[in-house]
Amino acid sequence: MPSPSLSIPRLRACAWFEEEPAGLGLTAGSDGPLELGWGPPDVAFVEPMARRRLSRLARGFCHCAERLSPPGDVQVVFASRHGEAERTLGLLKELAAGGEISPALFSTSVHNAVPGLWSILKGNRAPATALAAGAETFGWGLVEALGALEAEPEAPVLYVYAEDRLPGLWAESEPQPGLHAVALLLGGATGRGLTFQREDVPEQAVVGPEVFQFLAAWREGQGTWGRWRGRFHPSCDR
Amino acid sequence: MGMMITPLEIKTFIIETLGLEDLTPEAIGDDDPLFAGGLGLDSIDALELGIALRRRYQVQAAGDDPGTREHFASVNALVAYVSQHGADAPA
Repeated sequence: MPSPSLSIPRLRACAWFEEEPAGLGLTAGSDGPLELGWGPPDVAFVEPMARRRLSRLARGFCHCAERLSPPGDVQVVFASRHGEAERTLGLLKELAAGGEISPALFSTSVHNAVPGLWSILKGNRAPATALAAGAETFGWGLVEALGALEAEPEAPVLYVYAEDRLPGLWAESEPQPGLHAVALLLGGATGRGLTFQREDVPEQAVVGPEVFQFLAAWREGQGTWGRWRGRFHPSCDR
Repeated sequence: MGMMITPLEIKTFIIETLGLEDLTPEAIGDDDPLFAGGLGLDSIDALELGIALRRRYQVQAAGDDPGTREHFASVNALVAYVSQHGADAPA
């Protein structure tokens, strides 16, 4: 049986970290298909009355999405494992204490609130999807975005993944990377691409969160992402 | 019920409650409309203000009371409303 493969047409990518990521071999700056940065998110383009509703996660989303957003409507796929965990925990604590919860915080705590706010900001009428899929959320979100592209190959798809550290009560024992967001603009019949082949990569060879491995492969044009081994190819015929 | 409250206190309360980080109290006129066409607050802000007023000043603003729209129309309207019906929240 041939090993499954995944073809990813590569237009542009933007990755943003609140704190400089240590030990990942990534450096800030624009390098070919990847724009990489850290520090405060740049959301100055959002008018103040809308900006005040943006959560930390939403600010990371907007920073990356704005840099890749093509003119006109674009379908958005958003993925986050834990979404607005911090807001949700605050609301649950308020409810447990018998208090009234904030309508503004409640309405922006649901999983599709971030792409929803983005659609309103941009006047974007294309569909938006929000998903979570455990530890492999980044990969399954990418599969969802590729599926959307397959259904409508002429229209690019904006895929945005964002994740924040879990609040104290839910924090996991292993150290989690801080707030970060990654956006990929996918599509284009003649775009260059990355093809990943499923291979038996030993588990211990896989280092760091899957999204960081993917970014390194995207930038280098080859590399290992989870249990997939990828290489760059100059044209991606679909 | 009833208490003394100034327009400045109401403005500061609005800014803090609604996260209007880019506004100063001086930028809000006492008679400016708070909603459509004025400050530009929306329906979620109205709900947020209603809850915060109840918590901070003990005023019961019912969403289905036709008077509520008038009480929330401007800073001066809120000052009059809270002065008449409000009380300091118990510590």
